[in-house]
Amino acid sequence: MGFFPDEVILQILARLPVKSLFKTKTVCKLWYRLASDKYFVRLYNELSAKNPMVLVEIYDSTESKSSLICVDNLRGVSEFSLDFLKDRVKVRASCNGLLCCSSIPDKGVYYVCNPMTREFKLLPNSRERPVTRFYPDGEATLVGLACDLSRNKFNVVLAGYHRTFGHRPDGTFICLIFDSDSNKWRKFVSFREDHFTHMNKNQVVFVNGALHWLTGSCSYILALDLDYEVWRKISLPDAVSYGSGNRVYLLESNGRLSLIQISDAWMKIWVMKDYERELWHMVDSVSLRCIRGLVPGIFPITQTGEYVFLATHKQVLVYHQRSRVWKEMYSVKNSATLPLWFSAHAFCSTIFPCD
Amino acid sequence: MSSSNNSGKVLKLKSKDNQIFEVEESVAIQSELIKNVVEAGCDIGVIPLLTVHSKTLRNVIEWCQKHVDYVEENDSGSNEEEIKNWESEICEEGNNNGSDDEETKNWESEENNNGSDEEEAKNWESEGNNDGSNKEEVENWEWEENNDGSDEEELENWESKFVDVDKDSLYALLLAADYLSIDSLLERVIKQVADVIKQCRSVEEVRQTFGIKSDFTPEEEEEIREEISWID
Repeated sequence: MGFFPDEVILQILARLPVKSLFKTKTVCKLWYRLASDKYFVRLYNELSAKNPMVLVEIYDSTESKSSLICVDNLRGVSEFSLDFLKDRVKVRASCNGLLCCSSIPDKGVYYVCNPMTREFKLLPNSRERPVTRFYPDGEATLVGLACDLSRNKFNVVLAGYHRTFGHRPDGTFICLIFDSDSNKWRKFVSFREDHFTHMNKNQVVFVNGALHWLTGSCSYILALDLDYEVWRKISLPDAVSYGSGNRVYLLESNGRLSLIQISDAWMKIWVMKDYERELWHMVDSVSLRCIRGLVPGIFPITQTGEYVFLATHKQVLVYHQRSRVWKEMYSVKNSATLPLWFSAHAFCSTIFPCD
Repeated sequence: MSSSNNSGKVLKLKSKDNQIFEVEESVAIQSELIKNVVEAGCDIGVIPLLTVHSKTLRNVIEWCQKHVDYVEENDSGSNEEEIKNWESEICEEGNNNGSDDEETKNWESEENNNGSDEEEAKNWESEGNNDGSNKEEVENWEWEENNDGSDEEELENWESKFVDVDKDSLYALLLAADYLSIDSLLERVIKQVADVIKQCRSVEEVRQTFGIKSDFTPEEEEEIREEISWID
């Protein structure tokens, strides 16, 4: 196969799962060189980012142990472990193949890791970081991870209300940003009055150089521009704001902001096709007739242009838009577990470096 | 074969071994290379494809024909009816506000439960014991509402059979798809080669399958083996 153009070899290697890739690149010097090239890493990551999966945590109370399950449309279900961190952690954010995890025993200790390559970075402590001053319990309200595939760097954001010595919030909103290029934290303060539900906190989206969170009671999306350190509000489509009683979730769709609205009988998918002008388009309206019984407990987690992944208490489902077929991809066997949607994150398997 | 609605222009393609193939323009321009030749007005007479053998060219033409046929068969106005159905259902839904509000209240209160995870687990455990009814629901919901998907599936199955060939034929297809710049074929063959690699159980097997010799020194081999020793 040495007579193939390098570009073809790169395209073939880019379609291998991470472990396969690492083994395969040792076939000969040419393949090793090609697979280690910066251009290839970016090609691989961009291709992988188009194949999002669902990551859920299964907690086995009998063994007091939790494990991570990854559900993929093409490759099915696989399990992986974050044991290489040598700490008990909780996944707080996921972006382009990296995970940001907080230590369970050590409050304020955060890691950024790539579970596929097992690289990780313990984020530095900083005297700037008033960890114990977040309201209400010392933990940041918002945790965001922004992995920039083109600039090959990442940012971690910890944001929350400031707690005074009297344990009351004083209205100031502290935002700490870690930059992998400088390996330092920086801080800025603003005044905000936003509220976030559990799902709002879990579903943070990084597009167009900004991190986005949907706010509680679905009033607007809060966006943090990482370069300019500015918070701004993005409005929801009118039909979503004024459609009372629907549940709304923020997801990504091929590099764009997307909202999924769930009512009794319908799931509507919106995408912000024009970010500059904040214009939304409804791209699909899906009847929920055939999963009627599951609707109250179903939460959308991630999507491609063709599939939507959702989680319920015990299952991960996928909906294929073109064929209009629903499929169960995974279900939990034992009963002692938190609902899957509680810990579900969008995830894709990349070779994004993090040390 | 196809009911193409173009001018029905036919191009003459010549393989490496001097065989001439007459192919409809709509089929042939699936190849970017041939498309460029046509657009440049150089498609007079015969277009020589110097690196593609007739055996491979025949298969490539079959691929292109299949894809032209598929696009034509699926290019209908069926979407309009679907949209009308959605619109009428949306109007109906607007009158359902009462029950939605209640549901939302229930979910908001559950999500805002600031208690510890264990508390939440206890709440869910009691719900989880209502498993009986769920099973029935799961069995009932996996049905197709429309048959649009089956055409796509049929094409996928056809494509999978098409690339399920011996290695030499696969390489010939790969080279031809690259030379002729046929994206759909290139993409599918690349995926097939990646799948073949995935199935190999060792690095040595990959080498044997593709006839590649390792050019690492024994020391380098050892270093590399260590580098990937964490992979099971």
